[in-house]
Amino acid sequence: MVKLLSKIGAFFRNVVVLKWAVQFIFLGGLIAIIFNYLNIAVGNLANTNIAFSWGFLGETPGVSIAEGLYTLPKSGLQMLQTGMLNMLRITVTGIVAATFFGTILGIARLSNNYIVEKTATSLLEVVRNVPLLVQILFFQALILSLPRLEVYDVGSVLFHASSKGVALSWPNRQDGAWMFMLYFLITLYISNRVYKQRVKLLEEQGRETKPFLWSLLTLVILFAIGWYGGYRIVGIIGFVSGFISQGLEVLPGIFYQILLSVLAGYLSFISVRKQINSKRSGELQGKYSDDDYFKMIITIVIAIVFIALMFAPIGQGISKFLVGDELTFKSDWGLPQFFGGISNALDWSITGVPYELNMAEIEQVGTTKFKKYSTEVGKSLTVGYFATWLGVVIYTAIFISEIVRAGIMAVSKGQSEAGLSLGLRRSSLLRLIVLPQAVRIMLPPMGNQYLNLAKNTSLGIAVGFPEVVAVGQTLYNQEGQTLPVFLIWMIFFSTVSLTLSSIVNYYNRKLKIVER
Amino acid sequence: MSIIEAKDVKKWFGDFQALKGISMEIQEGEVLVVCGPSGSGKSTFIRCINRLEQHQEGSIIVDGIELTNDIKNIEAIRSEVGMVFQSFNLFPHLTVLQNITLAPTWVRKKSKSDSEQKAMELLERVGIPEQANKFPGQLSGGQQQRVAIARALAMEPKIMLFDEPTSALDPEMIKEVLDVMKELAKSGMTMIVVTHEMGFAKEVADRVMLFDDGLMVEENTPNEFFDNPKNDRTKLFLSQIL
Repeated sequence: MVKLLSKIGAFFRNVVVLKWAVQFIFLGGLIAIIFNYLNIAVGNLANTNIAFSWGFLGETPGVSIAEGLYTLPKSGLQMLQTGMLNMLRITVTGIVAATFFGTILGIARLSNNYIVEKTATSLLEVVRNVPLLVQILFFQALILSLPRLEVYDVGSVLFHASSKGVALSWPNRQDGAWMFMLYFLITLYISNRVYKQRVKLLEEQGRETKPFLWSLLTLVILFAIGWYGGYRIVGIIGFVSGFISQGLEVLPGIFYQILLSVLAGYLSFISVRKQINSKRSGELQGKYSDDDYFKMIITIVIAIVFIALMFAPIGQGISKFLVGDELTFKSDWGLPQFFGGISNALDWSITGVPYELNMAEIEQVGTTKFKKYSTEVGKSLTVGYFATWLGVVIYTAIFISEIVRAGIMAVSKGQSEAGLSLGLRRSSLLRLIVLPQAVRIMLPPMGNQYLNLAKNTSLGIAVGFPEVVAVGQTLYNQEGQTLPVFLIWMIFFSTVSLTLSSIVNYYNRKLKIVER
Repeated sequence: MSIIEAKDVKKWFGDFQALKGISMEIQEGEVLVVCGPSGSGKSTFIRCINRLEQHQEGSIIVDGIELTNDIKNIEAIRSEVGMVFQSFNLFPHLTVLQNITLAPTWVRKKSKSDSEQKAMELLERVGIPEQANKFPGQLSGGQQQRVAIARALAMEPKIMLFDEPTSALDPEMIKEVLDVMKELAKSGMTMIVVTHEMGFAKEVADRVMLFDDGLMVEENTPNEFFDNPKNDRTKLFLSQIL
C-alpha cells in the first residue's frame, strides 16, 4: 500500500507528467468557461424571447444599402455579403496604397533634404497623434463642405468632387474582365518562366541572353493577344466548371460531410507524417520528445473530433448550407454555386475588350431634377468610402513609414561601407544590399499594420460606409440576433486576418536569412 | 611612381581633430603596416583613402586620380582599392559565392560564369572552396574574414586596405587569416594594414608606421622600428604591447 502510494507520488513528481497535466487542466478549464458563457448567453436570449437562430440570414431585411454588391439585399446573408465585400474592397486597395505611400514617406524621412525631411516628419507627428476616428470624421467633414452637386451640373467629366463624393475616370470592367484577369495571371507566370529560362541559359553558356527584355517582350505580346480576344482561351476553365457545377448539384448533403471529413483526415495525416519525417534522419533519428508525441496525438484527436462533428447535427447543418438546401434559410454559398459562378464569368462566348476607359458621368436621380454620379461608368466614390479609405490609408501609411525607416536604419552601416568600398553605386547598394536585408526586418511589423488596416475599416460605421460591422449592426437591430451576428463578425475578421498573416508569414519564411 | 600620395591630410569629427596632417607615399607592391593606440587616427586615415570618410584639408592621390567630390573619381578609386573590415561585413542574405560575384557582376559588368569561375579560384586561394554555397552566418569568423578578402580581391584591386582584420577573431583563426595576407603580400599586392599583429609586421612589412593622436610619429623599416626606434613614443608603445 505504502509502496503504491509512493509510486503514485513519484508519478506526479515527474516533470513531463506535471507539464502535461497543467496544460490539460488549463485547456479543460478554458473550454469549460467558454461553454458555460455560451450557454448562459443562449439561455438569457431565450428568456427574452429571442431564441438563438440563423433564420434571419434567409429573411429579407427590408433595408437598402448605400453601396456595394446588393444595394437591395433579398436576405440577411446577401446583406452581410455586401458588407464583407465593401470591407475587402477597402482592405485590399488600402494595403497597396498604404504600402506605397508609407515607403515613400519612410524614405523621405531619411532624406538629407531639409524641406523633404521636415515635411514628412510634421505629417507623421500630426497623423499619429490624432485618433483615427477623428481623422475619418475630418475627411468626411472636408468632403461634405465641398460645393453641392447642382442641378445644372451635367455630362461627362474627367474628375469631379462635390459634397456627394468623388467621381473619377476609370477603366470599367466589361463582360470579359474576369477572363482577362485570369489570362493575365497566366501571362505573368509564363513571362516569369521565360525570365528564369533565359537566366539559366546565361549561367550555362556565359553569354548575354537579355532575360529581362525577353520576359518583357513575352508579356507585351501575350498581353496584346489577350486584350483583343485571346483571353477567351480561359473559357475552357469555365466550360469544365459548368460540368462540375452540374455534377455537384445532384450530389446529396452527405457528400460534403464526407468531403470535409476526408480533407480533415488528410490534413492531419500530412501533418503527422511531416512531424515524423522531421526526425527520421540525421542525429535526431527516432528521438521523439514528449512534445512531439503530444503534437502528433493532438493532431489526430482534432481530426477525429472534427470528423465526429461533421456527422453530428452541426455537420449536417453545414453541409445543407453548402449544398444550398432549405435549412432555416436557403444559402447560395455552396460548391455548385461556386463552380456555376466560375462558368458564368469564364464563358468563351463573351467578346469585346475586357476593360473600357470611361469618363465619370453626372446623371439625373430618377425623373427628378437632382443629380448624382453614375455608378455604371467611371468610378464614383461615396463620401463614406472616400473618408474611410483616406483615413485608414494615411493612418497606416504613417506607421508603415516608421517601419520602413527603422528597417533601413537597422541594416548596419558596415553593410553600406562594404558595398561602397566594392565600388557599388548608391542605387545598386540600396537595391542589392540594403533593401533585401531591410525588408526582412520590416516584414513582421508590416504584417501587423496590414491587420490593423483591415480591422480599422470597421470605423467606416461612423461615416455611414456600409462595411460588415455597419450592416451587421443594422441587421441585429432589426432582428435582435446579436449573438449570431457577433459570431459571423468574429469568423469573418479571423479569416481575413489569418489569411493576411499567413501570406506575410509565407514571405517571412521565404526571406529568412540562413544562420547556423 | 608612388601609387598613393597623401599630403598634409587633416580631418575633424565635429570639434575633435582625428587627423592632424598626415603625409606619406606608398610605392607599388609595398606592404605598409600602420600601428598605434586606439583613437590615434589610423583607421580614419585608411578610410579616407577610399572615401568612406571625407578628409577636409590636404590631398590624397590614388593611382594618379585625386580624391575630390567628383563622384566619378570616387567610384574609379573605390573599384581599384579593396578593403577588408574588422567586422567582416559580409552580406548575410547572399551565399559566399554571391558575396564574391556581386561586385564583378554589377560594377565590372562581367558575365556570371566568368565571375563565378574567378570567385572559385579566389576561394581556392584563401583555402575554403568547399564553403562556396553556404551563407556567411554558417561560417566561423576566420572563414568569414577569408571570404571578405576573396570578395575584395574579386574586383582585381591594385591596392588592398586592411582595417584591423584580425581584431575580432580567436587566436586560432588569426593565423589562418594572416597566412592568407602573407601569401597576398608575397604575390606583390600593394597593402596598407592597420593591425596590432607585430609578428606579421616583422615578417611581411616593408615599412612600419606608428600613429599617435592624429599624427604619424614614426616611419621606419621593420627591423629598425622594433629594434632601434627613433621616437620615445614608439618605445613606450612597443614596451606596452610586446
